[in-house]
Amino acid sequence: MIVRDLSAAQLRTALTGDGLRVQIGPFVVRLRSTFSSVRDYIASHYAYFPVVETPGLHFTAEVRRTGFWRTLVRPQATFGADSRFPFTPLPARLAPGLLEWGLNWCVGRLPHPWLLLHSAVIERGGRAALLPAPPGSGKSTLCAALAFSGWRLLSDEFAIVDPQSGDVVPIPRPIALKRQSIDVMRARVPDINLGPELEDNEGNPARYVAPPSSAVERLHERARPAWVVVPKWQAGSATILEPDSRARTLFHLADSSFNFNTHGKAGFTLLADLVDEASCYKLTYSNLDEALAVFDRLARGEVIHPEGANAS
Amino acid sequence: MPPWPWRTVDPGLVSRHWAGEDEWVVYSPQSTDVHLLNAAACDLLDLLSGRSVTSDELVSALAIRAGRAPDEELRQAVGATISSLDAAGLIAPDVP
Repeated sequence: MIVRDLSAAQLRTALTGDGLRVQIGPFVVRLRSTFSSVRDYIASHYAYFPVVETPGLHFTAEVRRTGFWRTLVRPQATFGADSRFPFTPLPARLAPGLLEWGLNWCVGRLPHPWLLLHSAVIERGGRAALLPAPPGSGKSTLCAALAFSGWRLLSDEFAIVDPQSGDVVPIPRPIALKRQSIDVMRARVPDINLGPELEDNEGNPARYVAPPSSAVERLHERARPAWVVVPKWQAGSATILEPDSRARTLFHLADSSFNFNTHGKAGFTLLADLVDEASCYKLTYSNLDEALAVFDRLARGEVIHPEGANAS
Repeated sequence: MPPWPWRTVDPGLVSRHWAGEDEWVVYSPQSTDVHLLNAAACDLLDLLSGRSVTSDELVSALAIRAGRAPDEELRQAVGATISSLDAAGLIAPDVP
């Protein structure tokens, strides 16, 4: 059963009662909320996610109202994870966003066996490209464009690496778009499923794109890391794909890990082996079509080590 | 340069290097920090691995490795590298 198989009444009953247990990547998450906006968001953006009916749970994620008076005057929403409340309450209109930010917190902070990197991941032909980059680098826009252009979305936010096999474990969740990226993606994919208008922590417009259903349906299909591409959107820049050293890539990945220190020496070896297996690049771009073309060339094996050559 | 001997803080440092590249990645299990080091810094760490060595001894050893004289230029380079590694928490003075 998937979320969209539930009637509106069943979804409401589950979310306001014992919770809706959903498979989100490798995690079984119990979702709870009394907000109709969160319910509508889950119905829309988690429609293809499997409903878990067997025992077992990784964590509970809940978006709920704050105190009674706040339900009457400037209502607020707060996020709870296993009875912890990591954020200050936010205006109730941001409740769907709070769910996503809270899920990020759960995946990034709660204990689990996987090595976690801050990176988008897309896949083609069983080979994964990791896109580790800080906010503002255009990572999510590029990831969304790739996810709707023949690449499978594994994640917009986390590269989850299995310490036993070195495989990347999919966690295809909604993709966060900000500012102009929203219009860019709406123009590229007219039937894209955008969530409600929200704002990020700096007050910029933000909306979530529902992941392609095909990516969610394949959430158990892992992939081998084949490329690490650090993207950087730069206004007016030519499209330049440059090889990056493996040492710098390893350093960058370790720095972008949420839980590297809990894995110790084994985590270092795991990341070093991942880098050893992958081709490592830096990509600077301003034209999204040219950037997509670079990834298509990578997938076809046309770009191995261009030694600084312009890839466009 | 200070006259006291130096040693590595973490005796279990792990490093990774790829052929054709001029940088090393070093991991300290003790601090869980990861460092990106150039060849000179890595050479110096190697000399300090498992033993206590003074700055002058380091200059002499590196001069032999590099096949050059232990001159002022080398002394300054070693001094700067020691300072960097000390600041990074990879080495510390070995004083009682």
